[in-house]
Amino acid sequence: MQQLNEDQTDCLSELINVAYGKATARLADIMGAFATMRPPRIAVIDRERFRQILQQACLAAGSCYLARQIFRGDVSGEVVFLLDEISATNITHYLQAQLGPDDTDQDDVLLELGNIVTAAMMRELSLRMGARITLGEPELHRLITEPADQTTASGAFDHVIKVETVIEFAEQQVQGRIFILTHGHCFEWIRQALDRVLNDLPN
Amino acid sequence: MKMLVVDDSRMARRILIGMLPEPLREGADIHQGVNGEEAISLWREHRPDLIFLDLTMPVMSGFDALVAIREQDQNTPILVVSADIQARAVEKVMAGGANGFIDKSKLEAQLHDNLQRLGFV
Repeated sequence: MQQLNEDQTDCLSELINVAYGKATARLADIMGAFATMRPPRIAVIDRERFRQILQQACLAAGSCYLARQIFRGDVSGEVVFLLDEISATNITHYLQAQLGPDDTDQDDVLLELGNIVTAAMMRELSLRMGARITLGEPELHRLITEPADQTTASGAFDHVIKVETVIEFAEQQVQGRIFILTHGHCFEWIRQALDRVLNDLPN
Repeated sequence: MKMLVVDDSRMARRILIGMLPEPLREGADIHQGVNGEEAISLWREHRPDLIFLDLTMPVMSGFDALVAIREQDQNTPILVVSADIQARAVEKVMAGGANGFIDKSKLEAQLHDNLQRLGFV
């Protein structure tokens, strides 16, 4: 599996930080609440580690919600937003209290929130890296204990960029993780794009 | 001219310093920190003429450092440079005594505007 060097990691971390800021601001607008952001932690992991993380998250929380969205273009892959059960419940209750519970069941809320986070993040990130992408329809899955194969296309991807952070809304911690899953050749494209960004930095 | 650039991201510091107008950067004494605590201790040690402060940092946030510095120093210009662009985040730092807010996704333009407004270029 390919990895990023120190400069590429720093560069991607900063690009993701800016993209995550946009996603959080969109979410905060919709929630009508101030979100306290924490610095996102970035790592490149392989498919097996990704499966283990999903499993551990489900075992620890009983169940998890996973919102996923496919992207295609100069780079292709899948972006996944993972929320544990408590975070999902907290955020849904909060939003239902703001909007009224009538038309908003938990799955609707989580699908929309997942879509906002992943779309805002991927749009900003692709813009920064000079990539043209289109995003597919978002999907939501509830994972119980053992992630089923059909809930992610992880089997098709061999590189996973893990973005881990905690967002606090109105004193409620929402622990969200974003995973960007991609193929080796797209990962190489990302590495080259990061090198272009680094080369364009002012001296 | 002494400057303090505080951001937990080495890349963010490098980008910001690289984007400073050459007349301002050349010959400047630029100190760098990685969290709010370092911001405070570097401010005490060097008494910079201008401070750039990120918000979202480990150990101590930029906002807490801003408030701590402002308790003792109301004069040194402090520009907050952040990816956290929520309207309330901007309001909070301005109320906390920052002299300006720079959205990291619009760094080049907003950096120049703020430096010009504060009379550094």
